[in-house]
Amino acid sequence: MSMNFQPDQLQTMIVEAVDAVAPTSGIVGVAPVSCGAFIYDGFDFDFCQSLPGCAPAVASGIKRVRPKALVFTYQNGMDLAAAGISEVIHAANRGENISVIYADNGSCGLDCTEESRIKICELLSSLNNPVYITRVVATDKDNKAAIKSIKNAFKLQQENRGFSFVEILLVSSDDESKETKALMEELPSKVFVDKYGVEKA
Amino acid sequence: MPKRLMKGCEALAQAAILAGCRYYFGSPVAQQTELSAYLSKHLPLVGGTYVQAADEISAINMVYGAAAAGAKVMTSGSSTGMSLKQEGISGIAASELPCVIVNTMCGGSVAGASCPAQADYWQATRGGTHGDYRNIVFAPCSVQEMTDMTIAGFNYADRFRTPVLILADSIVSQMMEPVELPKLPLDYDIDSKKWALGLPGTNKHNKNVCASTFTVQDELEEHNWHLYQKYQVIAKHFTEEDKDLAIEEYMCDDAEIVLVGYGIIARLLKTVVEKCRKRGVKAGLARPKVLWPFPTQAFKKLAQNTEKFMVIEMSCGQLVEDVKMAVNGAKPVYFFGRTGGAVPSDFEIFNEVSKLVCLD
Amino acid sequence: MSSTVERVILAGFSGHGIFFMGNTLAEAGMRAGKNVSLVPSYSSKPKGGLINCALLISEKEIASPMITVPDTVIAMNRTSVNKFNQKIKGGGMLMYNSSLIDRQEFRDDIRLVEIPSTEIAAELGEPKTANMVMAGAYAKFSKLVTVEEIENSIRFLLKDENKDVIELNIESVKKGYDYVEEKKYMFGRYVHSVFRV
Repeated sequence: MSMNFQPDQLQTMIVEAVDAVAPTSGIVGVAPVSCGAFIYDGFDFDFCQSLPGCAPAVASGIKRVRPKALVFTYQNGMDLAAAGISEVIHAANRGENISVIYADNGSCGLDCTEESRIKICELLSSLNNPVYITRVVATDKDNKAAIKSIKNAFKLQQENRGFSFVEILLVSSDDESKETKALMEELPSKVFVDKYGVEKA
Repeated sequence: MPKRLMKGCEALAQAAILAGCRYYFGSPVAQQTELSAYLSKHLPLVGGTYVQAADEISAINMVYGAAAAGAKVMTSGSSTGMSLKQEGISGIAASELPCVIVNTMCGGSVAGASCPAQADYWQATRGGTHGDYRNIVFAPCSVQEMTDMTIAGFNYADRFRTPVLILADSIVSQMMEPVELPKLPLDYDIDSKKWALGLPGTNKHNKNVCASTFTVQDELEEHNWHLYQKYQVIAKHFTEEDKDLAIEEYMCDDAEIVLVGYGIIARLLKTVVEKCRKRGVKAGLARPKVLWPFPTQAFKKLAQNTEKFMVIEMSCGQLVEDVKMAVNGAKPVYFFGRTGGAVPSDFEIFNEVSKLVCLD
Repeated sequence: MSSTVERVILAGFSGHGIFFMGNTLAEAGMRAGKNVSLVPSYSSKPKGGLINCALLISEKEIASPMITVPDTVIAMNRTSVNKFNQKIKGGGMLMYNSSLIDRQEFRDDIRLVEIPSTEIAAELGEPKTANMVMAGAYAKFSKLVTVEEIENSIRFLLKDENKDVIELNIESVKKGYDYVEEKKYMFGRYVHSVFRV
């Protein structure tokens, strides 16, 4: 399976979404552990590293102190779906006013070597407090849907609506293998929770 | 200002509010439940935020975030919770963020028991987890000190950009004593720290990054030496400028035997010293108030005038090692300890002391 | 040791209001300008567990807030008497709730004071204020706190409660004080100098 992790591409998406919502009072991103920890090099706003899986808790702390700032976490499978699965669930359950961007490449566990696919969106949508949960596919050619979802999440945060979660399934556009198709069937792209109807607007 | 009768941990909570702390992340745990309860009631009254975190790891990471955003922030836990928090504390120390962490020690490992103990000395004074770092550690022995040290703790945390630990035990935390709360100006400006994250404005091209991970070896070494130098400055500060804050000496001038203990044990030792003096034994008390940086110089000086030291702890012997290192073989250092929640009585300690004195 | 320190252990079941009694007496001591300390110790049971408080009231600065040999034990139940009876200083005092504890072979080198506090409190309408009856009785013997100060501390500590509760508590304190004054209960051979005769 050729599932490329494309950090520069993800950065482009986040930057585009940030520019689109044009925050005026501070932007803070929270990075995961491992290679993703250095994602801040590609941004020109504040960034905070965090401990394994704890980005949602760190973001909660920042957001409580800086309620006007745009606070988001960027996490990968190892960080969000393994070490920090409880953090994201509790942040979602508290309805913390942050956005979580989950870059999923179909694996989790330390070093992303475990092929167990934990359906985080499905898990989180059973909670009462999240206002926006969606899963989108992004390829190196088409990332419009992903940008739109991130934008929606940021907008909701700016309106003080609460917890938003965007899972981005990263797929290479020339990948037509069976495994990838099976994965995309298993992890369907859809909007799980949309309390304020931002998807249609 | 008239005195108020307050519980140790409630006085600590009120002192935190007075010191400008507006954020608390943690959960009520035995031995310091009242701390959380007090803050959950009083923080919202001053516009603060109290979040009962789902677990200790969550709590310390919220502290990490809030401290990175420039707030004065606090969390607390009993021994078990502290162990869970250690990774976060290492991150906070390495990222040079200020915060105050309260540990009311309880006995034993793992879940332990809700009983007084001083078994976390090593964990507190040796950093606590992986990485080359230290935390400033205060050891209060009375409700008044719980107040004063918390206020001092917030100041030192901000001044040196480092976590400050208040190492209390369940007796100091639970006991009630009259306490005088100072009047402090409430003008802490949350935007005053220029390194903080999420400062108002678009902050484009002027970004602050809060990081402690380095992939380049040279950078990491440079960072570690930078931290080390900071710790040297802190150590120097407590040996030269704030000497009185670091150690309390009681009747040590002509003492033949100096009893050493911190926290609630030091209060017992004071009674023992009085007992000894009444019976003609020249005893004194040295109580380290700051456990890291350890008042090494003060102990070196004491070693010149006294004949022996005796360290009394509610553990199997942790502080005793620091005393031995400070005394450096100049005089013998004896040890007496009770552990697992047992508090030695003043009679028990007196017996041990008289055994030592009779040996000669 | 010196006559200016009182080491008191208050003991009973949780639910007996042991901690509140300690808090009231400590507050009263503080209001009287004394040094005080109060160390509670309780089991994890919410109701029915044993609880005791070590209360020190002193003219001098308090060194150790812990008590090994109490001058006075105020016991609300039998278990507490068993636990602390042997520890009381010779010439000290054991004050116990005789509504719940039968008179029996206690030590003869301490002063025994029986107060049927639960009955007295029940007469006033609420057996729960037995702790305050004890506090009032204790004030009769103590050199360091007075009934007026206890009254003031109750008003302060219960300031959020309604008026009836406050008055009931104060009434109980006074009843306890009067009871000792009328009965002049004193068994045992020695009268220790800590207490007023």
